[in-house]
Amino acid sequence: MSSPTPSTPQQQQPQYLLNPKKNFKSKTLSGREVDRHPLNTITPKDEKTKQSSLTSNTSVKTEQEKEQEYNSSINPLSDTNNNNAFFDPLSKENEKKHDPLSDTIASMGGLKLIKENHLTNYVDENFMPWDTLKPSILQQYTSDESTPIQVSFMSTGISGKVKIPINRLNKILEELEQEKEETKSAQLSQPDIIMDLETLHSELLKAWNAEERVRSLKIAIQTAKLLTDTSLIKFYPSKFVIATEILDTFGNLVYDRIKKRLQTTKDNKNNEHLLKEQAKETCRNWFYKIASIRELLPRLFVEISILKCYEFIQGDSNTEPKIVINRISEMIRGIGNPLVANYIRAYLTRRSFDLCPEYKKFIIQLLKDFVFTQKSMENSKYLENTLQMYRITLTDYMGLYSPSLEWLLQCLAHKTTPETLEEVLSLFRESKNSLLLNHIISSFPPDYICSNSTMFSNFIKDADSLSYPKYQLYSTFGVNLVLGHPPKTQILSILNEVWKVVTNFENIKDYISVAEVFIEYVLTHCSIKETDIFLKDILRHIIPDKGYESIQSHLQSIVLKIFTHISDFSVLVSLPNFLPLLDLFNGESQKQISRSTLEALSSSNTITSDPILINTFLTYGKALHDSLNSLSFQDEVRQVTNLVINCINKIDFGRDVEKQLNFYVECRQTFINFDGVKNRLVYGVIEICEKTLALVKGKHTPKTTSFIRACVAYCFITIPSIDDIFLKMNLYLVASSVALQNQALSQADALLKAAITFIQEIPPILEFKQVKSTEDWTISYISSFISLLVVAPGHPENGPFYLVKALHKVIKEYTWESGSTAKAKIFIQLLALCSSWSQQQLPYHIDKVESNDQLFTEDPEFTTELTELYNSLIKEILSELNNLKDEPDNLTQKKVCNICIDLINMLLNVGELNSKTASLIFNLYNMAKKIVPPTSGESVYLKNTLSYIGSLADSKMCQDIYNKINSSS
Amino acid sequence: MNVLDIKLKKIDKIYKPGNLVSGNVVINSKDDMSHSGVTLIVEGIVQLQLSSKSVGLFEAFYNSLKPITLMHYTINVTNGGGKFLAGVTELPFEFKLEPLPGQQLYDTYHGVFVNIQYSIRCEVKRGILSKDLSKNIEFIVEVPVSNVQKTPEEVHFKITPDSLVNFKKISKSEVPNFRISGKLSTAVCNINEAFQGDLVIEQADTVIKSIELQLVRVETCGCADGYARELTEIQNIQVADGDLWRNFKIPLYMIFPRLFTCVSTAGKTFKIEFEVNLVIMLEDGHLITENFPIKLIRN
Repeated sequence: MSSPTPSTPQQQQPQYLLNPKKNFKSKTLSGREVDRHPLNTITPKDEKTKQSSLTSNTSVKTEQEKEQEYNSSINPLSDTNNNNAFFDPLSKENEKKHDPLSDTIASMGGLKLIKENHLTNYVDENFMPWDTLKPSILQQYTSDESTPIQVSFMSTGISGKVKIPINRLNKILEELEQEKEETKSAQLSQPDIIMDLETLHSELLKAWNAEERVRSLKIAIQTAKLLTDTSLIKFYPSKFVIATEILDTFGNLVYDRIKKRLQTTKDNKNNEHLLKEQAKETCRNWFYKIASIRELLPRLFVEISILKCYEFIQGDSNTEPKIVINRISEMIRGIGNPLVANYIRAYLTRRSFDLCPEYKKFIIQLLKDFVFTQKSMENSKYLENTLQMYRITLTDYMGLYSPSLEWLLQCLAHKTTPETLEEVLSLFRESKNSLLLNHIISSFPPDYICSNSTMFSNFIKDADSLSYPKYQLYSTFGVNLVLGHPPKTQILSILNEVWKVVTNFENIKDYISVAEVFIEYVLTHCSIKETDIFLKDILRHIIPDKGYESIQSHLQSIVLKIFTHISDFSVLVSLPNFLPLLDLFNGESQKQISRSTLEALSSSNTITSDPILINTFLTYGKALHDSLNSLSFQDEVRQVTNLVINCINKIDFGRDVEKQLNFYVECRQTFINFDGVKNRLVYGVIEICEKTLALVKGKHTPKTTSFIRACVAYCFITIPSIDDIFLKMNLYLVASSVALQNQALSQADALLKAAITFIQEIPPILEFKQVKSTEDWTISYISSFISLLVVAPGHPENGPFYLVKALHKVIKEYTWESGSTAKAKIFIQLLALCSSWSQQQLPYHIDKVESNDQLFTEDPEFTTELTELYNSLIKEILSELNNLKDEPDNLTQKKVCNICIDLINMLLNVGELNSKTASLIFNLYNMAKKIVPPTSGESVYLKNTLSYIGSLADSKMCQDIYNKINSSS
Repeated sequence: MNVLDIKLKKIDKIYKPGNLVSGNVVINSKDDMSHSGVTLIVEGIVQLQLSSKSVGLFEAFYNSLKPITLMHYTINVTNGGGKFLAGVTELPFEFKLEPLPGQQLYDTYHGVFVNIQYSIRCEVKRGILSKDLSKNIEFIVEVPVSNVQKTPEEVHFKITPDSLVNFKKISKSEVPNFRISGKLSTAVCNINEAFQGDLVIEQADTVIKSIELQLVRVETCGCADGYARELTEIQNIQVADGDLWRNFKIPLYMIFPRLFTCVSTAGKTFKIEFEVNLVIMLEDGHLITENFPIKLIRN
């Protein structure tokens, strides 16, 4: 028990003394190469984590910390993505498509259920059902593009209940009551019409449930009548969709009711025949009633809606399905308005599907009628007048026919014979109607189109350009070519054939619309070389006169298609015509394209150092970076940051660390506003330091030394520019450890100093979503910091205590929360530091770095100063305790108690027991005992501490304290 | 509450002359019910009526407008009085559909001026204290037509300004130029099938607003000395809406409404006939009408 620092007699006050001979085993931390991080339970898949572990052979601590940082800051999602058990709460939602709304609808009117009953088995998955078609029609055909069409009783609509203004409701109800045939109403707006239809639907269900069949029929007629009016012509296809939905409901209700009555149950087995007759009679009655509807259009619509009911009265005259369908299709000719006529044709085809799906011949007749009217229309003044009346362009007007025609042709083409297709084609040959051709191409099986591609391409050339624009035809054609499998030998000839025409289009928008489709053809069926040629042609068209400015969205879609088809980014970069294409974007689409480019780059799985690629990355990264500012959404910034980081991860120069550093310098310049990216860059630089160290096997040459200094300088400059204080602090700590490890001592010192000055900028509380104290983080950060200080050599001029004192001061001045014991906790850590420094040998060393034990231990001045520091720290802790012990708050009392016991343990461990220390321990013990709650963790802690004192049997002083405590209590 | 009802075996209640009409008288009573006899009265009557405008004119042959009884039976369903137990009692009956001597059965027909109606009335006599019960139901008679031409003959027509007669308010020169042609499948129509044909607007200088088929009944009452002929519209249906495309053949198709039509009938003092008018409405408000007398038959 000899003290190396003998207390001089002059000293008036005995001092607390450090015990310099603690049983520390001096240890240098040794690392070994590992494949995976011990904390990481899942084998890392990402290249970058492997990379980082490759270099770790020196300091495990730094590596660990770094890797932790790495994983948490760079890709917080990577783990979860790899994890199979990962549960996506949304995916479950998708699985069970149970829509509560549809339930209500079903219970209200049984709409859903009814529909399912009526599905025929005839169609297969190639057939696009009407239900799928509906939403797109509703979306496309509206006279008011600002508000989407919403209908409560259709699955495409959203809201469950629709409020119908009472005055409109009354008006409609009145109309229903009136027997008058003609009700001249003022021109209605689109929302009015939708509202009317809503009313009709709900009234229909109401009437049906109240067994008011006649009223139901009236409502159906009323609904069909709405389809006579074409005044809002752009809305007509949507109106058709909604109105026929009501008619379907009506038809299905009628059908199901009769069907139900036909089903024999046990009760009525006796008079089964009678009941069947009765049901048939009901059915006939419906048809008689409908046949006497005065107006043609409602009569046809309502009859078509209950077309399926004809199956109940087979055997009566004129009820054979084919005869009925033929008759109706002929009667449709009586509808003068060609648009209205074509939609009712579509409705007939749709409902006849339920009655006899195999019957198709009438569709040909319908198409013939369509072609006839189209021809007549072109020859008469009708078209001209119509366009003028509705103030609509020819293309728009013709476009209104699209959904109906598409449906007709789809029904015809589905599971049909080549003869039928041939018949339709001959119809085209006669008429040259391009609208018809467009839908022929879009609805015929793609493979049929592909194998007859030359013929179709000639058709397109022949088609009149009046009814439908040529470029649309080519687009439709292109889509089919992409979907199908054209014969290998013809792939190029088709393209050439088409392009001969397309390349001469004068309107650049027409041209690019076709190109947008055909790029996919080229990508799917041709080689990279052709793609490049194709791109060249595009560039040739759009560069002059800055044509590309007006077609940004098309270009964007072209680029996106290229990205989806060619995943290897280096292949793309090697195309001479690809990058010039990327240069043509501006504004919002430039941002989009930059983002897509980076996405493509980051998802490619090659690690590269290709300068062109890097240049591309930096160019578009810069564009993306510049498009965001402080007003951008945080989430967007986060996404872009991750994207950029992923791209940075793809770029690796291998052993050429200097180039890597240069790359990082450029990145910093480019992404100056992204904290996350800068964070990644600093870690990247740290990584190359480690790599260098590994390359020289721990012994730096002058050249590598200066390189390391450059690296650390990079860190030193970059770190302060990061806004996030926590990232910044961590980086300082890691950077300074690496600097120490690489013997860049003065720079390490500077980094540590910077870190100390930034401590005061740590906010005591964080207000993000919820208020959270940062105290715990700060304490643990400073503790790590102190443990690094153990080996950090003292400053040659400012002395060994320069940093510690600075830290001490910062901690003292930091605005801790009231009632916090953080300061005391950290001071206790500092006591440990003092203890370490007082040892002959430090507990650990860094290779080739002389620490304070080698520099100062024998220096008496050092020892004196250390003891002074030690004493002042204890005093400060005690005064801190003094301040806090009168706080009434329980929590604070608990904390104070903990500090007391912590301090006792620390003193026992690091201090040399003299009388002063002993009495301090005794007092602390009593103080803790006074405030400790009887049954708590603290009381156990206190008890254990006491028995620890007792166990230190070799020290007489300890025994004394122990006895004294025991006796006093 | 006692409920009396007559239920016929045939659900559609349609019978042909010579058929057996059978059914039940259904009595639904809560308590026991005594009665003094249940009688069925079966009647077939032609009722004639004059429209107000012809009343004065034809008073001379008022006699010829008396109702004609085609058949009249009285059937006793029970043998005198008795007692029905509480609950449902069914009393079967049956009779043969035959006219009175010297008379002939016609199709059931509900017109404005001519009505041919067949009914069964059931009466339950219940002594002095209780009210008698009675119930009346109608049944339908359809008379088959025997002498039907084997092959229906198509009727072709052509309408041009020259074929028009009966101009009102405009001179012939003002008539726009048009040529409409078409045909009817037959002018002798089966009542259960539709009136069918087709039509083509070959040429028309004006815009057509609508084309309609008008079914008209022609009821004639009286005898050789004098008669009243009344035309009323039964049904009017549109076959074309809006300006038809030229040279585009559209079908004419009309189903005969069940209650308001019967086979073309002629009795001694009355006649029921039908006509179809093809009405072409022009946008300027003018009408072009073509009249087709038709004969309705049943087989």
